[in-house]
Amino acid sequence: MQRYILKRLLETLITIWIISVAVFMLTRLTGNPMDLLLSPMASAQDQAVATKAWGLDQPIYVQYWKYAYGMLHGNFGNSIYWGTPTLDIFLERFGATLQLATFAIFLSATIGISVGVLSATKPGGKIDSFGRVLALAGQSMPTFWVGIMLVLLFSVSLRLLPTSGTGGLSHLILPGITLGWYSMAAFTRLTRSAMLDVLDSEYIKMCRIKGLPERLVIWKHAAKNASLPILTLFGVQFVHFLSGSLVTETIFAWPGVGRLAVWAVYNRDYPVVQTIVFIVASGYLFVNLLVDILYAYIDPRIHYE
Amino acid sequence: MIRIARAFKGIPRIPIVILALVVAAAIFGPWIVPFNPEESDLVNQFIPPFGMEGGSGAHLLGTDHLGRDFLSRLIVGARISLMVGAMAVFFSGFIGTVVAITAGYLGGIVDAILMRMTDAMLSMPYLLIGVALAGILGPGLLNLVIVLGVLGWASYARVIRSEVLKLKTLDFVVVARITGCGLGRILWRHIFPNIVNTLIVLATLHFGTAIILAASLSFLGMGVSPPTPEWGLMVAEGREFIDSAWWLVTLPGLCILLTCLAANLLGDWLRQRLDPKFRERA
Amino acid sequence: MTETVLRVEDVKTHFVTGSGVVKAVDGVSFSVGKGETLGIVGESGCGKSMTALSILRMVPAPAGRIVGGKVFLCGEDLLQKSEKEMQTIRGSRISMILQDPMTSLDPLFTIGDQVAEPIRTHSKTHALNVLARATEMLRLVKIPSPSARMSSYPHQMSGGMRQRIVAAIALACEPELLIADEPTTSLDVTTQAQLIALLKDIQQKLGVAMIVITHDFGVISRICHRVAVMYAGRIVETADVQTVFGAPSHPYTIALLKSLPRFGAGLERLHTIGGQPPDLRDLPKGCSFAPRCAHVMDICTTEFPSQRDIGAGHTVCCHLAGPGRSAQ
Repeated sequence: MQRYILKRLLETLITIWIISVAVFMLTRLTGNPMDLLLSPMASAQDQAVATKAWGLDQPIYVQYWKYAYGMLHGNFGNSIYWGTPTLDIFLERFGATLQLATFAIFLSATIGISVGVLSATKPGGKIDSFGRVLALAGQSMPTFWVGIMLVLLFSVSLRLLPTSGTGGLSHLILPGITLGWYSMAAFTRLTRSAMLDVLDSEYIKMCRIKGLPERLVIWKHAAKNASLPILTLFGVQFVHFLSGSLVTETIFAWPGVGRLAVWAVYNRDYPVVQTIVFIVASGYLFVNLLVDILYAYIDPRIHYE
Repeated sequence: MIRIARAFKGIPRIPIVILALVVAAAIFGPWIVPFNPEESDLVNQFIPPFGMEGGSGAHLLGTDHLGRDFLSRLIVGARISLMVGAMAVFFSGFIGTVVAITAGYLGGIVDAILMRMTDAMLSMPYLLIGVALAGILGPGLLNLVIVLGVLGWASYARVIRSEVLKLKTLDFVVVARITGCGLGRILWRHIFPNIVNTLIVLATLHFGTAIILAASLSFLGMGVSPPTPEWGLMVAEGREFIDSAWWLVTLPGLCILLTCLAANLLGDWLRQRLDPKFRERA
Repeated sequence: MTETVLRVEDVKTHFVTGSGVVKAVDGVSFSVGKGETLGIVGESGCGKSMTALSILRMVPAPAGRIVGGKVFLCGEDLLQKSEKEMQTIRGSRISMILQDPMTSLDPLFTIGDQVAEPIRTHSKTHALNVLARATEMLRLVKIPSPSARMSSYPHQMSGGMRQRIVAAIALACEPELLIADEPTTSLDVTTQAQLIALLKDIQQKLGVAMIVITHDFGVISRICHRVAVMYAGRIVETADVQTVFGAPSHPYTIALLKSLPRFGAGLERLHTIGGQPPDLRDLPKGCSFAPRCAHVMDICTTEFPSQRDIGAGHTVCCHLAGPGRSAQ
């Protein structure tokens, strides 16, 4: 088990390294990174300082080394617009995104998994048909449209909920539903599919042959086996949430990392963009690592690979 | 050929009809639109769709904030979305397949490196990367396609690679190797035909995703620029007027929804028909 | 005369599909006594497994339904019982071993847990005694170091051992009837022999009535007392094992035995039975085997041959067999 965890940790670190390279290359695409990383009004002296700090007059691997070294020491560069460290700017807004994402994932997982289980235990029934249509529709709608429609319905027409900003539960609902919509559809479909697969298996048949009460069959055996792919989905949804948050936070003026990212790209504040991409991508990898470790605890077959 | 024709038996009607309409709009759009979608007519701003108070038969789906006929814009928008979607799918599919076959078939260190790259790609929040990349490349249709292509290849690569791994061990491939078939021949005549089914399913499903992604990028201002009638961009433009002209935000989104829904339904059906491994319970 | 444990009378199980009604089991009757093993043999798709599932009332709904007949377990008609009553019967009075040991066990739970489950469900045994009994069952099926194995997982064991564990689970509550559905098909020859020997041994010890479903005549010869031959959802011949091998009556049985490769017979072409098994949605009028029968007569295609007794527990459904006459 320890060996498995170490192996996965190593893989994660290597992938994070690759991401750092990719992010690094992102700003070297145009040939002159100073265009992207420095304010257009930078003085000659600023430019000289930057050239020295980033090694722009040196070969690319030296540049990369300076960049990586800086990151290992917590120096992710400074924002062009504000001049303050990008890491601080990121951390200020991270809390808001985390709050929204947690609410959204809680909402989508609870509803999605419940509908999925109910769908699977009575395939072809009313809940199943309804759930399947909803799930399919959910995965065919762009997040931004869901958000705007919700605003149209609940804020503009019905005047029930606020259109933007943070503040209590009422401010959390619309953005939460918007952000979680796609995931809810994904959870419903996957849970249904995983449960059906499991319920169709020989070992579940065996459980019924043993005369086990149906609740043991479903909640002890089927649920545990189906939880494996569902657990993996949690990890995958993280990526959707971070992407979805760009749009959701923009629509609802939510002061989080997503809105920061859009703003930063629009205003060409690339150090901020770089930092966001790197941290978010690495974060996703760690979430995946956790999911894999959890997986290995549930499934005894894993560490024998 | 017969195999393909037989595979089309029992195709679900609704998605096909919707897609046919969209394709027709895309192909014939510029010739059948009642008005020029890019021509402003500031006298006729904000006319609601036909059937609503203030609506007129001249503009069946009303006009937008610049007085442009909305129906015409939606129809031409189909062309944009379809083009972007198809090109993105082709681009991603091509790169993904090449990576998958190379990694899967050659194995070893090549596989390890390519797979780490694929994993890295899949772990990056795609919209964030898309926005960043689009910001760097600048607006425009071609840049949008490039961004989408770069974002999409990894999902193809992962799935197709596992197919290739399974195929590699099958007898007919081993026999081909033993009898001295060259690498190119094995890949083209033995491996590729057997992954085509999976590729088709992935492409159909990716098509819907690509359209949504293109619309999202345009919505955020990173895709095509005005006055191009792209559905996502139209929603963004209409957002300001949401309390007075609801059709400006609702209708383009509905078009995206229907197109993507049709692609997903078709993709699901194809998955059941072409790839028994993915069979979903009825 | 041994006490009858199971008596199946004219059971019919049909499946409603988009392309017609599939008559998977179409009027099957047989009985099994205490300490006796009945073999049900036939080609794939002839309805053997569905017969077993019908006895257990586990026919896949909603497409499948038992539409007729009676199933008497020690005199009680199982088809009249409620689902709750059936749950108490399954695993405790009737048990089943499935074909593929690699998929019969839940991969996420220990062996001990899975063997203990039926014991816990069906008896009021105290918790500590449950584990002791489970370990006893593992010992009974000759699993080495049973106490250590209680905390192992299925993937750590070979196919042969897993099948024995499935047998342990099936026998944990000392059922009156054990159904084994192709228990040896997924095993290699040596392991097959071990499993068959084990089942025979257990039957002698516990006196359990057994039904062994198989297409392997070798298994039949080693463990069965009586044999029922099934074709297209119906039983075409029933006899004790010596008679089936020595003096089979139904042309299908004869053809099946002829198609077995014989040791020491020299180089000769294997016999096959020409034609295909019939479509269960569209069974021919008359005898279902008629299209493929070498001795077909006119009456065979118009009238279904009812079961006739041709001596000492030997019944057959064939027009060729009058009382005392055989097809040869």
